Amino acid sequence: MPTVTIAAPRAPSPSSVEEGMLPPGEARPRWFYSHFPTGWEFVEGADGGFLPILDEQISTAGVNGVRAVLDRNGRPIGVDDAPLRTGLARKGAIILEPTDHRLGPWKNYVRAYPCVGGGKAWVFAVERTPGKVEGVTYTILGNGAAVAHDAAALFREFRRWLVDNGIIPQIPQPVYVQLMEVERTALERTINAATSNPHLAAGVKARQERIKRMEKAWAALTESLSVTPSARLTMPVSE
Amino acid sequence: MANEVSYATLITDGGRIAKILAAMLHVNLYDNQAGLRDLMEFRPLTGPSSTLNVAKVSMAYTAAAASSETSGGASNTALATGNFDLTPSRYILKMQPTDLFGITSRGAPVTLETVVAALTLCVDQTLASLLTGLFSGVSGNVGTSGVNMSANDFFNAIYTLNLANNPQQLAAVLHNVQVNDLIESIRGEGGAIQFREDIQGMFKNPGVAFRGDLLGVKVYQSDKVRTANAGADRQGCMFSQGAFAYTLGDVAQLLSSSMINPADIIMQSPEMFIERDRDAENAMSSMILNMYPGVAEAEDARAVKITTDA
Repeated sequence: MPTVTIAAPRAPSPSSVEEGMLPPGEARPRWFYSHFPTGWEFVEGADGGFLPILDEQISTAGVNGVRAVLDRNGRPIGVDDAPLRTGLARKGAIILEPTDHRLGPWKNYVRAYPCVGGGKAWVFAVERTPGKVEGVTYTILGNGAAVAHDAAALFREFRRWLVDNGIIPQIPQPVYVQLMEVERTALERTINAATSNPHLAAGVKARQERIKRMEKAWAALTESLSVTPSARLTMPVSE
Repeated sequence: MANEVSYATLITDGGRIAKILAAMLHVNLYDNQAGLRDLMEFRPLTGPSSTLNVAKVSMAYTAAAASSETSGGASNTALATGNFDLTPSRYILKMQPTDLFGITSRGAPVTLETVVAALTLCVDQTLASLLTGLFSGVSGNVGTSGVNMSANDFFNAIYTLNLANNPQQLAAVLHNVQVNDLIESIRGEGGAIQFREDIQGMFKNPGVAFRGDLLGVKVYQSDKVRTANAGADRQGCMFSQGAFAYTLGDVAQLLSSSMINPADIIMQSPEMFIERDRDAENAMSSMILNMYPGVAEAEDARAVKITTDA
């Protein structure tokens, strides 16, 4: 019998969770982003401004008309989410197909972590540089619990890129007016509350400054575009 | 025993007593504490199609003044309709206790009955999870990404629904973090609302699920409310009855058509059944729950999502 050398022994995993896998409770179904025309928000910070709200639309059987697609042996091989997409289009949503080549470096923005037991956790993550994946990450603690770390900064960058590259048109003027109305109403409420709760005075100042920043951002936006970003109807005609 | 009365014999004898009793037991066992199904409109699955297409009709019309008392001159008004699809799909949950589990768990709180109860409870938990999966499809939004939920966001949601002529009965399903942030914000509220009984009531800790009635809105808490904005936020929702709908396939048809051996059925109701599958070689008994739910957003104007910091 020949002599056989077996491989070096492996170190035990530091936790009860298998290395590189999330606990089964973290499993999340596959999704894609959509954007509704009225979905905008003002985000503070140097990388902020008026950014589109993106919603994670879940492609899972049984939800909004999505159905499982089975092979001839009855095993699921995917989903047919056409009814979901039709419903979104009916509401004027822009669908950001993850495989759309127009997304450039952000293509395939949905990636999955494997979960113990066979499920997957689909999260926002991209590989803008080959071999370097950025996005939502997890830390597995010694007791097996998973702690998620958001990718808010990267996500802001993504949203800004979508607008700058024309995938999503700029914020329409009526939406801006609506956002300002909400902020001014919130300011009034804060002023009223501060009359009996003096500690809220700082909140009043913060809201006033936020409104100023929003006005400034809008002015800069309209100046850079030289036209008001809004689809306007022509004036009514006289009979 | 020779003449043992089992569930299987009741079925084969044409008896339906066990089925009725089991259905009653299920209602009690369902998770009515954390279940959110009552917030959705139930639509029975009818017809041979795999998808139930439900039509809705707008009822807000006003008549126009006639140009003349005697002439006709009426132009036709289109009846505004909308529709949504409910496509039930198979949802399963399987647990596989070993024989050793059955032997060693005697007298312990974890028993085979516990396993069956856990499977049964999952019906409402699943529907709650599916409901929260619909929130991202709502076009209206209040709240600010990265900013804690506040009373302002709560008011904004009420105002948004009011602008769309929603009825009085509103409900909000929020994540635990959002509820905590909302309560923290309410602590600083002044003026007329600070002395309201429902505002004070929010400071209680009633436990999971239903948290209280706040400004006419029934507030529910669920950790199934999903994340948004790359994990930075949670996306709850406020809505009126009719915003979301669900269906559950009637599994009684399967059982009455002899597709499943009645002797393998552990529990059954029209909405679900738990079937046993014995693996003698490995000394394991699988218990498999099957249900066929479908959920959908029924009317966009009846809901507004609340996106705030996680």
